[in-house]
Amino acid sequence: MSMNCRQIRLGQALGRISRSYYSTEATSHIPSSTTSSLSTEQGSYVAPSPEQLAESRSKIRAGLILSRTPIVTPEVKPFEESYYNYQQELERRLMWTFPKSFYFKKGSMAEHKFNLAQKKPIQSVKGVFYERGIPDIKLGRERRFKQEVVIPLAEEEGADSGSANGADIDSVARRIMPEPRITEADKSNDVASLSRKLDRTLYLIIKQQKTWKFPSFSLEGDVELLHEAAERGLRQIGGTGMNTWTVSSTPTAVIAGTGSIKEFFIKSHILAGQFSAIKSEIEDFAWLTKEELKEKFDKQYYETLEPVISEQ
Amino acid sequence: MNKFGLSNFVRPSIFRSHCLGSIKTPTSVSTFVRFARTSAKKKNRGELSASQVRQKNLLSAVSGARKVPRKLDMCVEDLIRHNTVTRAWALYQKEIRDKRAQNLERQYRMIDEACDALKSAGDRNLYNKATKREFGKRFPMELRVPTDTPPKIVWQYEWSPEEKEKK
Amino acid sequence: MSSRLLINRSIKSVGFGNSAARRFNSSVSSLKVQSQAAKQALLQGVSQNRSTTLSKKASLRYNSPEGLDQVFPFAYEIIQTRSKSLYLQASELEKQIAQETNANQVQALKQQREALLVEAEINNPEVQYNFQMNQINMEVPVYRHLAKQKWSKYEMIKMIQRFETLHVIPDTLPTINPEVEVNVQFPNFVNKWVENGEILSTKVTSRAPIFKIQEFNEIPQGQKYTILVIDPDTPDIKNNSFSTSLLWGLTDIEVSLNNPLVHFDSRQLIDYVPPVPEKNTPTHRYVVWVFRQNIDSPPIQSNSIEDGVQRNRFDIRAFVKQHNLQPVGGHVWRNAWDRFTEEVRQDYGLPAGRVFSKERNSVRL
Repeated sequence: MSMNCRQIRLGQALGRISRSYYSTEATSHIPSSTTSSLSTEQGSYVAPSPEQLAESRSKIRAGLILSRTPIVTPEVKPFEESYYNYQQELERRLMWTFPKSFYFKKGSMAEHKFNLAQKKPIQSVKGVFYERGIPDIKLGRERRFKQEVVIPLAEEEGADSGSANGADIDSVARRIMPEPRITEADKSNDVASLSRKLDRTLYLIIKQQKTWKFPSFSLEGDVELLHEAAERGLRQIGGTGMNTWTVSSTPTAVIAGTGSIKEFFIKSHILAGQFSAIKSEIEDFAWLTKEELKEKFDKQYYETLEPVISEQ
Repeated sequence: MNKFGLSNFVRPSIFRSHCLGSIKTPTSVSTFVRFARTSAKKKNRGELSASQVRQKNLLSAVSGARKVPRKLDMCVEDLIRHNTVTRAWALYQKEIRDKRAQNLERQYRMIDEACDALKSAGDRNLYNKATKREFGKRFPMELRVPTDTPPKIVWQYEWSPEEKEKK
Repeated sequence: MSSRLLINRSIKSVGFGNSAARRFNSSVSSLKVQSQAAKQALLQGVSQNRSTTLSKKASLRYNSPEGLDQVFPFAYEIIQTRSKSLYLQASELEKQIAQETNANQVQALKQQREALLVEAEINNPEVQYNFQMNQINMEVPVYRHLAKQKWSKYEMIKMIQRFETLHVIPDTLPTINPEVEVNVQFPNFVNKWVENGEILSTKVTSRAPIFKIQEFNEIPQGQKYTILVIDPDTPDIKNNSFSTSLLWGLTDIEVSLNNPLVHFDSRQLIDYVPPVPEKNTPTHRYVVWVFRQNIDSPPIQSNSIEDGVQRNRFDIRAFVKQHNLQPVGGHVWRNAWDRFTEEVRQDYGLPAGRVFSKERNSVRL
């Protein structure tokens, strides 16, 4: 019954998650038997003594998968780029002639400027043989080809006023200059920087006893929860200057460690601030992408956690 | 002249109903034009008033009589090439979709596995709290949607907990 | 045109490595475009190579859509990669088929394999081109699939519609589930395949027709077909009704996928008698039924009353049941009495036809 119930819920949850376009991570978990079997299962569950509880809590560790989500959209692949270009060309070829009279008043300066900016098609002249077909012009547009509407540049835009940066940043007329997608951190390959690989998700990993791992912490006290331990631990080793958002209090993965220790992973995103190693036991830390993690991690450790790590 | 002070000049029948609409609520511009016309006593019947020009432009913007391009005729080779491209795009999109769905399924199984392990780990309180539904949880305001180019300040490195409290 | 020059200039020549081209099945020549010029125009674009489907004059005026030449190589690459993986899957299935002993399982696996082979080639532009140019080999699964798709989208639907409106079903057999395409041509009506339900002159139908049975599935070894031509509108005055008569019967016909014409020397159950409708009878339907024979059934004897082969009062339903025949396709044409009918009767030595009154009697016979 319990298994059956779980399968149905799995299906529902998958349906719900995969329908949302932006979702790339499954984070919600519905326990297999929260409502229906509470009474029956709690009957067989015997509450442990304080000693037993402390013993079992000492074998649980809270791991933290702290990620920086992409800041820019992913790189467009050559096929995508050429396909989008083809679609755009088709659209321009099939579009109706731009209704100039709707946008520009007849005889106005704006209309004059617009007319000047347009490319004139070849006119059809009587008695001339056109090898490649007689021009078919209506409303100033060659109907056999795509239409290119040239928007006349405003004087401020056209002139090189050099106001892209500096003092008059508030000027309405300043030229809009896009920021580069490749940053200084990319060029110097500074793995401790959060402003590298802007189109990818970066994960925080730390080096302890010569091995690279996601940070993990033991539970404190009798009542501390997994995500609380992860948040507290992160600030103990990396300082308080970080704004993080824990995705869910539900663990996203589990790894059986040495002995009977089990490490449960909590997902979290960094929103602002930075990690600065303030404890001496942390030999090094880095913000890395999926491929880079594969190089740093132990093979089995990576393969277990691979589905949780985003490719983009 | 009728009771609205309009001369009964002939208008294209297509605009007649629109013109009646404009008489009920005359704008200052159209009033000006009307007076100008009546006072000058122009006999130019082909010329339209400003509001009529506006309406004509409106209508012509949505009518395709002279605006439609020539039909796009492709030769056999190009049609096959076009179909190949369309088909390849559909397959490419399907591949991405399938991969995403498969990954989500794997992630869900891992969550399931982790929760089962947590249940048998001894501290039942830990499990109950971890699997409790979090109602009303929202994405924080600070979380950005990816854009094509980065912002001026790529990352805010200096941040302190007081900043959050202020908000 | 200046814009055309622009197009030409903007095209980056993206080479097709021969290694990439080898990803489609190169061992089957029918999957390749035979003409080198057509192949180049298809794979490299008509801007650089003249289209073989346009005249010289038309191709000068022709403008290929912009951006297509740039995106095509990437699309071709994707389709080739997919094709390669599908061929790998198909070859794995081949190994499974070799090991499998259960006949049903083998059949299921073969179907799976054929579906994979179709999927691997259906997006190949060369295959699409060959299909459009009607340079096809029906032994190749992908062409069979495309041909069936084309037939079932129009011709099959039209045929069923004619059978229904003319009440061929259920007047002759209860229903039809077409699996083969049946075409009929008369020697007096050269190069014209008869349309379903067409009304023909008795002069045209005075000589035995030519049949084409096009299968779309692989034909098993030893598969034979039977064809019956019947007239369900023979007047039956005694019962004030109509009876069915058998005009022609052919049996033990063998056809192949690439040679679908029925051989004129096929074994006859009964000789061909041309349609000779009597004057003032309503337009007669002449129905061709094509059956797949059961491989294990004994052959049907010619002119044998025990086997149900009889010219008049032929019972097609009983005949089909007796010989375990599977109706897979059909065709219908129509004839009425015309000025050639008496001539045809004389040629075949048939008695002079009766003349019915123009209106059916109000008093039932």
